[in-house]
Amino acid sequence: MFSFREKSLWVSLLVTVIIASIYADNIYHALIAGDAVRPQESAALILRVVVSFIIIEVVLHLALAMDNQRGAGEKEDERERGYRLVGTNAAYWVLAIGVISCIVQQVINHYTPMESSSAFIRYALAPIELKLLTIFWIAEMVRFTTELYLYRAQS
Amino acid sequence: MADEMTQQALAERVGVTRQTIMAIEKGKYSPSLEVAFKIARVFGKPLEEVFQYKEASR
Repeated sequence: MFSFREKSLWVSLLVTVIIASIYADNIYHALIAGDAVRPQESAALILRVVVSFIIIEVVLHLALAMDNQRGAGEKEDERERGYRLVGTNAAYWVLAIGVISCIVQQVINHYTPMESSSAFIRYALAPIELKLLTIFWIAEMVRFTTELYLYRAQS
Repeated sequence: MADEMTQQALAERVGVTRQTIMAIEKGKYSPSLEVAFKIARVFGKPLEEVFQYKEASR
């Protein structure tokens, strides 16, 4: 019933949601505790998250390809390409708005230092790389869900 | 025509996935002119005999 590409999108969405949740949980607890996140810690967290994401994606896609070898070998057709472009466009806007907001916020933080009185402000004061990765996860989820919505709505 | 050929066989001859053929049959997806011409050629029929344009109801 589902094409190989649609199954692949479901797998990617699932992996992204799980990995992003683990990432968000780590960040949230560090920020709630009021700990200053050091560059080494954030770099280690990003590395762990990205490496796990790549490994899980590769393993699950290999399993998917072995299960459906013909589908895995098929080229993307015009309908799938159209959905991918719509999904990528939606994700682009999330990424662009997120990155610009992040830069604006860094500038505000620089000129008007804030007290870390609430969790929200603590998040605002988190290192920029952690916020950028959060925006990336959100953009990825928007891309996958937009494509999956189109697959489901037009099948 | 549908009885003579499977969706998979048509998809392979046209160069799209079976799910795309299903979506076209259900009227959920409008193919490009290129794919429409290929489908018509597979059936050996003129384009207007295979595809009809319906005005969207307002």
